[in-house]
Amino acid sequence: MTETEKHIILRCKDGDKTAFRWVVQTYQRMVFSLALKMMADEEEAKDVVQETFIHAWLGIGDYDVERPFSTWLYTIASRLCLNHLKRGKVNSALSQDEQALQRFASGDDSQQTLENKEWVSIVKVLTNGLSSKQRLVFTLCQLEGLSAAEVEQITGMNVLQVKSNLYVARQRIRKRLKELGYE
Amino acid sequence: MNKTNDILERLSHQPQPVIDNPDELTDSIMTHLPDVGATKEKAHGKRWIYIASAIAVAASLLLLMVFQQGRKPTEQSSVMVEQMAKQDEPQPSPVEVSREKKEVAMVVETVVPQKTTKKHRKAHRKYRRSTEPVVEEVEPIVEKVEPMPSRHPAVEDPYLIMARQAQDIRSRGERLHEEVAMLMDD
Repeated sequence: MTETEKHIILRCKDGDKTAFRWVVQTYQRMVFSLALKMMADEEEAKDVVQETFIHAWLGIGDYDVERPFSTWLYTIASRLCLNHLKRGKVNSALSQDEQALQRFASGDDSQQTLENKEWVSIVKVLTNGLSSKQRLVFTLCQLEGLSAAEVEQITGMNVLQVKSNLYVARQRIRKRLKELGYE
Repeated sequence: MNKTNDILERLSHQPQPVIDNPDELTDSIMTHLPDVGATKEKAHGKRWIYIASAIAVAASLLLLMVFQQGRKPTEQSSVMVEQMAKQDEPQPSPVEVSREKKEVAMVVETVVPQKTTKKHRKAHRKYRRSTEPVVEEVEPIVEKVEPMPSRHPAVEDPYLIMARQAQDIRSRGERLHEEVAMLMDD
């Protein structure tokens, strides 16, 4: 965390909303990315983003400035995603979602950027049948590109739990893709 | 078809999804932010409620303990209760006691100690050897006769009063007997 960032967060701790606006603008895409991949629904992802920042605002007084701010935000967002997944029904993948994955898999252009709808479809196909914890670990490690140590901090699991959840998630995804004719 | 690993690898290199209208989402978040001062005041108020309720509970417990302590019997009161119970016990009447004394005296008079002969002692030893292999010594059971507890040091024993009255009657009778004898002689 840079000194400027630290200074802004300290202002947020004092109740400065203008400083917090900067925080929201800087980190909302990161939170939205995790929420969209976890929830596989754009509107629900936006709700999670909003709730995450409200929780962050209320709890920023307890935030330790020496810890990475992104990890702290990821922790709040992960818990909210798990809560939403517990409450809501999981959308199963449809044939159009499988077609979206097929288009992505067959695309030769490695620079191809996925749209939100495509992300939703691909995530639905891949994470179908995974538990919420496996889904969270897979999203954080594989799709968000976080390190095992960071995932440990965010989820509160130990290294073994993180690794085993990731291993099982990958095995199930591999099996699912095999069923769909990949590999 | 591409391999699974390739798909996962390509997904990991994809840029983060984009929010359609980020400013709108930011504004929505900012308008929904609660006032920290108000929430702090609420928390402060709640804390005071917790403290007050804890104090109330502690005070009621203390009162209850004090009440219980007051109801416990003290050492003095227990002694008094014991004395009262002793006083309530039925005492034997003096007539009964005198009758018992007489019976005891009669029994003592009738029992005459007998001298043991050699024959008796031998037979007794033989009998003891055959019957006492297990118990070597039998201690006689001595019943301790406790003296009658006096009701109060100031109050005189009723038996003593009765004895004194009997003595008076006897002396009066003897005097009467002497007077009658003297009259008869005259």
